[in-house]
Amino acid sequence: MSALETLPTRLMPDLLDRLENASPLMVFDVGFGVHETVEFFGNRRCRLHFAGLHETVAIPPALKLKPQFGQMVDKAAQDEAAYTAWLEKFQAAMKFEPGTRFDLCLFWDFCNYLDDLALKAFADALAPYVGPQTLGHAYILLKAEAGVLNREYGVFARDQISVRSGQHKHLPSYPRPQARVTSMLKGFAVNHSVLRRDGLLEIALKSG
Amino acid sequence: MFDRNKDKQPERIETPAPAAAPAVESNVGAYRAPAASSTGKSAVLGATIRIKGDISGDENLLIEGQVEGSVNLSTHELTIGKTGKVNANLAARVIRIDGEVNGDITGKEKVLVSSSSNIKGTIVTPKMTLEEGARFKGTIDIDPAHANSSPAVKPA
Repeated sequence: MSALETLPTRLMPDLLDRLENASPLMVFDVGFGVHETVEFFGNRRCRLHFAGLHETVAIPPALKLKPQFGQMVDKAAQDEAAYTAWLEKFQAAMKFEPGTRFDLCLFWDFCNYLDDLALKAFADALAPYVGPQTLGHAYILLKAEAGVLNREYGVFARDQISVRSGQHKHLPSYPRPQARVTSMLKGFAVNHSVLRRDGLLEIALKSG
Repeated sequence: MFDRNKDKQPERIETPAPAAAPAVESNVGAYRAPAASSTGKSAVLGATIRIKGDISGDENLLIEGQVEGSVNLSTHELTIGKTGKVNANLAARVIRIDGEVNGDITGKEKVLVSSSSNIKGTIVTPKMTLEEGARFKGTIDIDPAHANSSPAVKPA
């Protein structure tokens, strides 16, 4: 994939309808801002936060491990150190004004590039900015499928998602069942989901 | 000529009134100047020019050099060219970014961001265009209803 393509979406129109009266509309996009997304939201009062987080996760954080004695490996301590390191990394990348609450979180396929600890850390870093009315959108990779990875997404129209080749083909991917992903996305529950022909599960999330 | 005083306190640089010659012009032919304003004047800060301080004026400005401080062209167009590196808050009627900006950007009418740009900061404007191929990381504050409010700028 090189040129711009569009994917039909059955879930985005409902999310946007629910946010029709939000002003300013607070949008958090985990990816980079692209032409289509800015054009789409540009006709209404809004604040668009583009985090470019794929870049952030390209270099895993250094772990601060306590000195070990002998050959024993303390897995729990390693996991704790990994979680803390990821949390600090995401908190540094997502410093928003105090009191910020997003109306819409566009996760796109970002969760598929995070292992369980990193995904939990990401959700925890985002949690302070998730309010009771926050909605979300994501694509979940259910099984290893290279054809749907390394993409950049945008909102082309209320029922069309733009997609083009990304710049993160080196990132490892982590296919998971929907329930496992959403159990780690603190503060969100799945409202609707649609299994796409390409194998991605499109999900609409609501705070809860 | 601006390098000579770079260690002094930031100075305020006023571009002249419309009838006067542009304040700073360097090898104009080598650069794509912004569209002329209604006064017909536009100035260019060439690629080798470095400025520390506050820039304001009443004509369009193309920055291809390095600026640290602030730029305020409240009723005119500001272009940060491909070789421009600006560590400053920017305010102008229309702002086009082709180069690097580290600072907040306030476009009274419009902000255009091209694919060659590299921006760290918040953009505030009633109308925003991210050109095809551009990838932006940061915050964009869009309020189409406030197209006529005056931009205010403070040093970065």
